[in-house]
Amino acid sequence: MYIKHSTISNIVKAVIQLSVKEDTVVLLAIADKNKPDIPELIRQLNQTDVTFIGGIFPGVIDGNNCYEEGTKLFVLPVIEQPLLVKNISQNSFQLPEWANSMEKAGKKYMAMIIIDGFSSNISGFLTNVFDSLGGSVSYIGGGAGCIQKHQPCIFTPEGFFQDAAVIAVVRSEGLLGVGHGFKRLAGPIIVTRTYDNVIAELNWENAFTVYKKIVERNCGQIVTMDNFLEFSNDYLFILTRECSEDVVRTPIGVRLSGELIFFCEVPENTVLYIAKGEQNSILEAAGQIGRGHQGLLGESIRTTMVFECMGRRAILQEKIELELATVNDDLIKNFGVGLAGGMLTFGEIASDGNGFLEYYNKTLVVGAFYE
Amino acid sequence: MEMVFSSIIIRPLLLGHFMNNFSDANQTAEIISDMSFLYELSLSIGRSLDLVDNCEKFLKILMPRKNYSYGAIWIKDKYLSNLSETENTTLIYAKPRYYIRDTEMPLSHPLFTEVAGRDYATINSRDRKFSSFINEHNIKEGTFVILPLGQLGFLKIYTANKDYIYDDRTARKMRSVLDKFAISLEGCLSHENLIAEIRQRRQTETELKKAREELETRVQERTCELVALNQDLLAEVIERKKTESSLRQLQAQYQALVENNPDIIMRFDKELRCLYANPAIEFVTGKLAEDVIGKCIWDMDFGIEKDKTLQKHLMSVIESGEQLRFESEQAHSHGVRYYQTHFVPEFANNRAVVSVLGISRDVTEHKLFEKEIARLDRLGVVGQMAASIGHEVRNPMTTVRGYLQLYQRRLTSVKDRETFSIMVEEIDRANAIITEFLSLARNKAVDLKKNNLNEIIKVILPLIQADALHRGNSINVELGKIFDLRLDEKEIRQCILNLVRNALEAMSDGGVVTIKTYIENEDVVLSISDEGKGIDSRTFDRLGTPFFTTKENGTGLGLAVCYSIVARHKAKIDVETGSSGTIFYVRFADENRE
Repeated sequence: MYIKHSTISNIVKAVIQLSVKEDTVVLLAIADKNKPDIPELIRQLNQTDVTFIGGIFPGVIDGNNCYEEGTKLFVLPVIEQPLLVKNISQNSFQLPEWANSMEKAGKKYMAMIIIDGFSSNISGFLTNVFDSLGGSVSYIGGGAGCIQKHQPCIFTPEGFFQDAAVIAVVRSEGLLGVGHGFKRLAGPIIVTRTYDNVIAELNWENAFTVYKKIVERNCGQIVTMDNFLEFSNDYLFILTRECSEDVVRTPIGVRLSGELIFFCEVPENTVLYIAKGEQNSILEAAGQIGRGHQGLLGESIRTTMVFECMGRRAILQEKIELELATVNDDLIKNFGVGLAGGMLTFGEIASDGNGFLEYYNKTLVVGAFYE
Repeated sequence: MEMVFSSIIIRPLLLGHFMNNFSDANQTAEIISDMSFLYELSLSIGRSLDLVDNCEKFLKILMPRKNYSYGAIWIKDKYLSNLSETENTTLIYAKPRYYIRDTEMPLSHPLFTEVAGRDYATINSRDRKFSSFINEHNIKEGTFVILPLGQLGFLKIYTANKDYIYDDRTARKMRSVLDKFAISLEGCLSHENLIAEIRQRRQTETELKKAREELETRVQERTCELVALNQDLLAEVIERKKTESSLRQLQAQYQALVENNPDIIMRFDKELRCLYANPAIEFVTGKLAEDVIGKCIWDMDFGIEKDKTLQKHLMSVIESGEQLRFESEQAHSHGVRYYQTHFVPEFANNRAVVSVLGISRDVTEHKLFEKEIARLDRLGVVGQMAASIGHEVRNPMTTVRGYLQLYQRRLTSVKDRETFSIMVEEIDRANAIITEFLSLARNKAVDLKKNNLNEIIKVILPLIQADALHRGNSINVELGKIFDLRLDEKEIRQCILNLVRNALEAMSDGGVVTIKTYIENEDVVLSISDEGKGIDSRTFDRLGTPFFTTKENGTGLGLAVCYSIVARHKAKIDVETGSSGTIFYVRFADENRE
């Protein structure tokens, strides 16, 4: 359900109307623009018997439409009460051992993770989650947050939090589609000096100097520290992976020292490529995701969900709905069920549990939940 | 080079990545990919000397790059410092934790036997042996790759893809990296062993230090205890020495008391053998204490009767366990001495008598004093009688005397007159006797005035000399320098006359009575000695008793009057007598001094 005007009364009324069952959670994806007073919303939702989790996102998706405001509601049957993890940047959290209850179910359920996309240590957090749940579940999720500044963006009945994540294990199996459509432009490039989520050197040279040289050669324009963000959304880095989607890392800033800043940690000595996103190739990725699902599950699909990177929207702009329509069409074609909705995110999560749990950037993640 | 990585559907939509017919571009891309992978992997090796950290860094690169689901590193126990005695293999590191089940396994496990002597072993779930390779949780299908790590152990990799191929070429690509990884692990183990050794050594040193400190503390505590003990001991020794000194002093005091005690102190055992005797025994028996000690009572030769009496009394005390007092007398060259003896039984812990302590005191003086008291008592009675009778008798006697003189004058016959004269003289004599009687009275008033005894003697000396001459004797006077006394001249004169007359009467013709005055022990002493034959003991005991006389015409009042006068002057009469004569001493105490 999509609520155009995110007033507290509208949201609460809509949540009540959902008449959700006891073992069901309502996921509220609230667009940052014109969002309501979240603590008050929590207070009022706590007066209902509904269990809820939610996040503030730069945009929400209903069907193949993308909105900068409004609220999208998802009803998710869960096997356990959602788990709120606070202070993830401090790496001091302890996750419960869920593996046994997952194994008893005999099915590979989908763990949905909504995380503060501006927290540091997201990779550490995901490693910890994967360490605990391993291949017992599939993973889907994305980073919440507000584009203006780092502020609270995750909420549960316990409150409104920054630097937090919420995990809900959905009582459904899932299919995942992951794609980005960026093309390698230059490389391999070796990350020769890093710390945390900062790359200081590339190929033993100043990171910005290397980046600038490659981008300028490709686009024919002068790249400076001042106009860096005009280029960083189109020219980004990818880490190669065998047997899975390459991982995209988008630089989100540059320091005067020439160090490039990222959302996520990039390990030292990693070999990466500079890639460029073109609207066509990105749109093409969406089509390929849909095609992968062909004829597999038919009518048993319960719902579908998309986590679309905010950066992709910056590249595709109004064509993002074309991308969503492509996904929607493919889902209808394959499963007879269209795209229910989703959210624009700062980072995406997707794994079938059989490999490492990565935090993607500039990626489109599609999930099909089925019985 | 440009390359499109469109999309990959992870399960089950994975697109095959490796194709049989590589184009040149693809081949180059693959080589670059391999190179970059091996570059990353090799640089991840040995970045830490910590075993787990090293493994983590290695798998952190390997697993995402190859999309492996699980990686585990097993090391033979003999390479692990803390497990070097066992024949097992231990899981050192594994990711994710979710799959971990067994953490150790024997070297005989198929995982070892399968890879022994080979570069790698791979097995997928289509193979029947697959299950025997599983020592993890929640793995049912997929592919295992076992890669030896030198002689240390192996790396076990799992991917859910049961079609995964790890071929010889892949193995060759990985060989040098894995060898390097194995060497780095050896380095870590050596480092850990070194650390463990250092830790052990430090721990040992710490324990040693602690033990030393504890020992030192204990030594210090013990030293303190010993010092305290020593101080206590020293104090005790000092105290004991003090006590011993006090005891010695006490002993010396007691010994002095006992040794110098005029009482005879003796101890007898049950066999009546003398265990101790103080020197006073010499005075009584004439025997030295050392001659008595060790002898039985009957060997002491006190006299048969005396020995028997002592033996009887001692036996009585030993048998009854009760104290006993008795009196006895002993003849000496200078007279008989009286003794009061006290036998005290001494007991052992079982209350049996072990010895008898005997204390004999010379009570002769006491006895004499008692006699003196008795005499004085008698004198007192006589004095009182004299005082009452004197007045009653004198008056009629005066009347009779008056009438006798009256009738005498009327008599014409000489014979009758002589008879009446005799009658008057006899009345006078009776009156004189009464006067002397009255002077015996204790409470008679004395008129004490400052006088010098020598002057009184000089006044009466002619009278005395006349009396001596009349009796054929002579008087020798030796008057010393003496101080004045408070004296009743008349009474002293009477006392001297009585004593001198007694002395004259005790001698035969030609005897000399010596009158001396001198100072002895601050007392003024008057001594009157004769050269008579002395006083027998019977008489000696009754000296001063009124009306006791050895003279034919004596009244028995002379000496009694002397005693009475001397008593009124708070003086004292001592008598020494022997075969060569008798000496009367009158000692005027210092309180008479004027």
